[in-house]
Amino acid sequence: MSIQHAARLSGFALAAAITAFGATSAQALETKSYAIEWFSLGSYSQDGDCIGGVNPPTRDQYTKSFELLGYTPQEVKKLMDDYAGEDDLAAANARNTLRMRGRINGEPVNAFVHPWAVTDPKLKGVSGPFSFGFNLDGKAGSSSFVEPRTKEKGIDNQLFRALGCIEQFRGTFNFRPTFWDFIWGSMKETIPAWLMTVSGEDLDKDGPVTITFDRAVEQLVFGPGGDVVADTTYRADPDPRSHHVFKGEIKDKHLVITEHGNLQLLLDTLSFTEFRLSNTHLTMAIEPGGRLNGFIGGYQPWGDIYFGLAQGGLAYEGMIINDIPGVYYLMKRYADAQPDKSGQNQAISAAYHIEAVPVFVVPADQAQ
Amino acid sequence: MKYRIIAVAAAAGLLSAASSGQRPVSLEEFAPLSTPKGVTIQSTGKFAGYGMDQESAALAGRGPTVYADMRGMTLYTYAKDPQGKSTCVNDCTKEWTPALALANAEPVGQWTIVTRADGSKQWALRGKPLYTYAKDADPGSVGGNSPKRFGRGAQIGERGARLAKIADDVPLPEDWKAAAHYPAGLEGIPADFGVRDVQDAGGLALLNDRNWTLYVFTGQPGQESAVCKAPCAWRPMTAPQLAAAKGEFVPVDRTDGVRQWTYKGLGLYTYAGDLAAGDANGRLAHPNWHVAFVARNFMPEGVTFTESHRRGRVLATAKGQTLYRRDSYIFQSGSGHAQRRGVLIRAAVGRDLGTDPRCVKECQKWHPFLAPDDAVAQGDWSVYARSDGKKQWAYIGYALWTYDGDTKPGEVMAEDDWHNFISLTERTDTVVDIGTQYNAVAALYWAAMPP
Repeated sequence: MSIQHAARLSGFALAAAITAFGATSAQALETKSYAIEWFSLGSYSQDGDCIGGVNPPTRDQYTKSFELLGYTPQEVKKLMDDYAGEDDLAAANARNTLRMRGRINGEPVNAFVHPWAVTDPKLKGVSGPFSFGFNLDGKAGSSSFVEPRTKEKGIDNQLFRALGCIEQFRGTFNFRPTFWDFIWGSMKETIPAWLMTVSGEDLDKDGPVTITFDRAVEQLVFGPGGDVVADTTYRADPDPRSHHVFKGEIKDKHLVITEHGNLQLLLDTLSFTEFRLSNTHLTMAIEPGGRLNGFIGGYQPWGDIYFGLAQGGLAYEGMIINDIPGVYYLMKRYADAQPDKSGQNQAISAAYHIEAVPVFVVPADQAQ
Repeated sequence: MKYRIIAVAAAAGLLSAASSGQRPVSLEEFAPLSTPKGVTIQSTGKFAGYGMDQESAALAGRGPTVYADMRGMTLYTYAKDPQGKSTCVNDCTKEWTPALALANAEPVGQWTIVTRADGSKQWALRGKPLYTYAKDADPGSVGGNSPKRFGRGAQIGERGARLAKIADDVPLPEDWKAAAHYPAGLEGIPADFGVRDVQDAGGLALLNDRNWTLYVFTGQPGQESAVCKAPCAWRPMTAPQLAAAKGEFVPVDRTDGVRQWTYKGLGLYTYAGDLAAGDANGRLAHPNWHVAFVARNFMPEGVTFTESHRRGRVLATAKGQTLYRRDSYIFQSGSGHAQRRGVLIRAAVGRDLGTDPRCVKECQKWHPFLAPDDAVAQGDWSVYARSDGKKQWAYIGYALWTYDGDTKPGEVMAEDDWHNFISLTERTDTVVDIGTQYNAVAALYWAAMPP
């Protein structure tokens, strides 16, 4: 399949791809492009990886939230009954009390805008030893994981540690986390596709390559079965904000980034408005059918992630996220890079599971 | 009458390809502006932008619009007024204020000026004098029913989630009616046609019975085929053999045997490049092919359209530089933000932001799109007074801006440039009250302005 695909990349498509996507070497003879068809936090949830079990469900968290606000047991019961009851106005007011459960100088404030103004509900993070991801800092400290397949130590994926004990974020390589199934499933048909283009002398052999990321003008194209259609042509958006080039290599049927720079891809309000990584790592298996399957990771500003989780407000919290200010405290606690003046880390290590299907890519301004 | 004679003669010519003695018709001649100077168009109800619930976020298009005065106050007609004369005087004017025309106002299309008993000049639409209503408090109000009621929320601002049932509309007093811009019927329209606010075209346009946009050729009569390479993308809108003329709509037998509808004397066509209802791609095909407007929307001098890869047609300066709005985040369950027209245009949000974009980064690269000192609101365009004494154009409520990072026509380099207003540390000054958050977080972003 890969040979066939490369063969199809003759003529205009190959020339255009090389011209536009900065194949940095004049010797770049072969180019393959891909559209990313799956994106989720790299999770490796196992029995017993959350001490005492996963974090309580939303209903229990809300009870705790009311208690932390100082309501009496009777008042808490009334508010919870109202929250789940059939009296619309009473339910709306209970929801509003939850929404406004932040306190600044004793006054109620929006808990999602001011998560620090809510008392830390002290949600737990993952304590198990394993996670997918990358050794971003070159160290194997006490906070790092072990890669479950390669047994590599020093894996940094503190975002999985922060979120992995919330039920909807639990998953494995082949069992997709509910949250990401919902988010990616909602977005994938309306967001412009993310594209990857790999250029090198011979992409069937080990050797150095150039890996380019772009954002498409078009959305992903799906077939009747719901799968992304291979060999479709996409136009790459000329906007430089989503155009990033990395040096990499192919080794043992794996595509890897070897020089770890910054990545920025525009995404969607439903998750991150921008997907920003520093110290970007990538390793993807080149599958026999020509698809790529693996991980991309680095340090991500956790404020970006918080926006994505908090943007659905009470609706998200009630259905999916369990306790949004609680997630704020988790990410703040486990953030492990880019400290500000106070010493608080502003970025958190993360690894995302991505899958990509072979496609054709042409520059938007040269497309016919 | 003179116009009609010219137009009908031209139609016969173009359809028979015998064009001797006839002249081309200008677009301005064919399609008048939908509003005169000083008359604006306003969205009503949820479409004004206060209803921030999921239903509102999923709404497409602009919804119902009404004609309004320069302040955005809805205009009304009075059933008891005869054509060309106002009978609402004395006490009546305490509630119904005559909509007075500017001193230099001139009639446009369906808009005329009537002289009141006191000598003042009042706007009239299709002969009916127009008024504003004392119980209307803000733009988009109809019959005293403010669109703000869709966003009530005592503890979190006027765009907050609903805490009580939304009150039913208070009915208008008998004999009074809001002057609807859209949807609005067209008098004397045959059953084969519809009228729609085709936003990409910039006006109210005729549609065929499948809601496809219709076009006319305004060049030299009879030369349609000369500018149409085979296979011709322009397809005549056929008329049934039994179709009869109705008002401005006349079926004409072409020399090739096709019976074709004409409007104001010009043959009507669909364009093969339109792929869906609401498309107006034919506008780009040739300078003499135009959307068959019922009425064109006003565009200020110095405003054009540009075509961008990502956003399609967007407003631009005369040099082709994209015009942006500053907009606020809205939760969109199921996504859709990235799609063209995937975000509801909310005039009320634009008005809240005014001329202060709460710029956070690259602020030196952002410039207000200034209006001349004598600029007057018209159609979808408002004129905002800036703190520096200058005036700034606003479109559907949003003040407009240019970005220095766009260096050639069609670039939208600042599209979706976000700033999230969340306080992640113990600060309160990082959150601005943009009046738009409902139950989640607040954020502002730049977006190219579609027509």
